[in-house]
Amino acid sequence: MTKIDAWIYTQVTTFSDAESIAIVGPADKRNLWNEFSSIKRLTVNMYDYDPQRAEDNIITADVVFDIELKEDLIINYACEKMWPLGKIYKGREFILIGDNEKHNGDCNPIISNKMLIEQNEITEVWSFNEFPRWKGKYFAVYGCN
Amino acid sequence: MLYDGTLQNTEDFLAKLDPAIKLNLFTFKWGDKYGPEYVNRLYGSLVENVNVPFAFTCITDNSDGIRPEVLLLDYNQIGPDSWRSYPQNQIFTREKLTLFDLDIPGTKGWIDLDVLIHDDVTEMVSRDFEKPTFILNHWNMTKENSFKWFGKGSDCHVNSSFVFWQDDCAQWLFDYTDKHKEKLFFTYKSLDKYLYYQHWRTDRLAFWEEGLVDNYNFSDPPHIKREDVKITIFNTSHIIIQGMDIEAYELDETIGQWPYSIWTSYDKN
Repeated sequence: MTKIDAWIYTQVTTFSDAESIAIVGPADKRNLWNEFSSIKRLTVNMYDYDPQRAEDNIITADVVFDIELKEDLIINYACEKMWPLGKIYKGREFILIGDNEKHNGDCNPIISNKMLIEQNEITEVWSFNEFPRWKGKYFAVYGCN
Repeated sequence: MLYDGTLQNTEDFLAKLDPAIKLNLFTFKWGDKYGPEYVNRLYGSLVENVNVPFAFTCITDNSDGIRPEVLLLDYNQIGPDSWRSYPQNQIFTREKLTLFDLDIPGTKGWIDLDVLIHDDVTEMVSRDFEKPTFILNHWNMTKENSFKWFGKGSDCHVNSSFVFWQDDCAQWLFDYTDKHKEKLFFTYKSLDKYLYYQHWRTDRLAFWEEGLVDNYNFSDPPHIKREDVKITIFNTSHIIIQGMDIEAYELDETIGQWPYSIWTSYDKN
């Protein structure tokens, strides 16, 4: 498990009241889904708009434009690539991950945890962290709005 | 009919359109990237290669040098005010979509200035369009790993250089864009990417068949004239933006190559 996944896992298993989790933009990472799916109280769904990621456990959809998420906790692995989900969904728990590497295709490079908090209108911050990346950093926030 | 170079607002423009004309074609020219010869030669290419009556309108901020057969619409007055408040690098060339909201019956099309029409396209523009019809980048889609970066948001296989629709079959696309403008302008830097990720992905668009449109700079091998191709595009902006190491030409840079003599020949029409 990566350091980020381990951090996410710790937050959820230690602090979260959620009974359902949406994992947005998991790409080919399945560790968290496997771990959370083994916890009886949790329902876990993965969302990715890339049809190349399509499989039984992934809902192929754009969570900003195509559908409405219903889960209690939204884990967004790709905040740098989309409209802040916290502006759309209220009264949810969020674990927000974004990086500052400014790749082609990143409409929203994340340069700080403060940026994640403000963009997603997070009203209670329960924990936050930073993780090194190849050329930059991941920023990570856990809270609710 | 000849025009005097006055830029019209949308209301006046629509009121003066000839209702007998069932094919209305448009191009855009703003800023100084392209000179008026691009507009004039595009018009000449249409005279040569469209054998049904049509009207041709340039939406521009500067009518200097544009031939008098071309209708003129003021670039600074088209579309909703709310769209103009967004920076140009958010859905660059989003102005094209405002044409879907003009109440003009019949067939409509927009053609970018960096497009060379070099064969008869009457059949293409005379079809019954049930969906707005765009260019699909067939020349890229068969390359290895052409969809590898889809999930990263850096793919794009849609091109909006030669687009046709009929009556109000594309009204939904303007309405959708307007409804979701805040999120869409935030998310997409270019019109083509927006169309690709939102509407190609969901099968809402139609596309010209493979072989009708070619890309001068990106096809493999590049820079050759292919049999049966009617339209060649010369887009270079993303080559510059992404710093790609590709030998690429705009139309006016093709002196001594096959497109140039065709392009300049349209001065006579």
